[in-house]
Amino acid sequence: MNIYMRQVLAWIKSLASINLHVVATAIVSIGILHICATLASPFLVEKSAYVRMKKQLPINEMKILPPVTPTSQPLPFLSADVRYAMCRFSSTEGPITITASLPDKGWTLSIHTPKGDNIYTATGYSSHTTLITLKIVASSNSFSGLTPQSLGLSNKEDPIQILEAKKGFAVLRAPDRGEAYIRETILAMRRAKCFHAKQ
Amino acid sequence: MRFAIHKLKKRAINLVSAMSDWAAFIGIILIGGIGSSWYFVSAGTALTTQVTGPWVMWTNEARSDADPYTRAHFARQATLNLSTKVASTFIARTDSDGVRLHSSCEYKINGKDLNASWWSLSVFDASGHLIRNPIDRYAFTSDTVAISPNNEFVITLARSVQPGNWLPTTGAGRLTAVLLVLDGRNSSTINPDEFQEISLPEINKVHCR
Repeated sequence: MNIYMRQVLAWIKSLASINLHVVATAIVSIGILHICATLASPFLVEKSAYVRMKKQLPINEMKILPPVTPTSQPLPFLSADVRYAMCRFSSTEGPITITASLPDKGWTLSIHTPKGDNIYTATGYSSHTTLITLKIVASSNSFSGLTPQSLGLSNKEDPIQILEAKKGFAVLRAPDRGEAYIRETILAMRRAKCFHAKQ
Repeated sequence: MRFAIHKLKKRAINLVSAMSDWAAFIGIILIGGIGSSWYFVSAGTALTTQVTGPWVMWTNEARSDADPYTRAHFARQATLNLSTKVASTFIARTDSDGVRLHSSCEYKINGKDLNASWWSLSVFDASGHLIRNPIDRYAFTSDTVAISPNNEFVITLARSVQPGNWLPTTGAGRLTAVLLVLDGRNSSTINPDEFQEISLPEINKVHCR
């Protein structure tokens, strides 16, 4: 028997001395800890995007942010290729209405939850302006007002989309095409509104 | 007296031995559990990411039905990303040869005009901060990039002034390139597999200082 065979046999013998209960306990414990650590990770984040932006944004009001630069970059990986308008909404005291128009390609309106989930996104087209009206309610069961039809009015406007979220962000992104277009871009961004539906 | 000390010593050794066994056991569990979770959340796996050359995309990014790893990854980053239902965000931390991007090197990003309604390519430092530069240029988009007649573009990442599409990277250390590809179609009609057909740009190192 050569030396390698002896080494292999010695290794197999040493394996037999390992307590399989201990190994199984370790593997199960590692698995449980892995799952707990992964699930808990989003809640252990010291400063989420929502928390970081909270102080800068008034509640239920669309605010156009200054151009993103190295000195005024509110979030990591927030690119300077677009101008941002954001609204921090809270629908706990009543539905929130968000309106925006997306005049061109590259424009987007997205709704994010405090955890960062993107629950709604609309993108613009180069062929036409997309008009968006969203109603954000705290619970889909809550009364969010009478429809135009029930008030005896014809509904000529774009259909209102209803989303369920208690808190979050509305983010309007407008491509920054340079100095020559900035006035036009800001004017289009100012048309975006975020307000309490009772107003 | 001597015997008592010897007995005490033996007991202490046994106690330390048992405690060190437990400490090793708990240590292995902590390192295995938390370490594996940290790695899966930071780097992703084949189940959560799609890798094309140097570009990595988290396939369930910012979606309400995202898996726990993706959710934890982006919560930790504290970013506001667009859902993969309408956009794909590709992140490159290495060049096409797999070497870490660094501001001491010059790179050419060669690509064809992407089959998308709009796209942008930005460069950040390793932590996701924009890189200070005298011309205030941090990104190129499909609107602003200079494209050649054969529909190709070259973006240069370099410290010193370069002709064409130059993104300055002065003194940033490790670099991260982010490519956002936006699809202008209705989100409900998008097939996520279609994004795989995008021919992503190559990142080629020119030289290092």
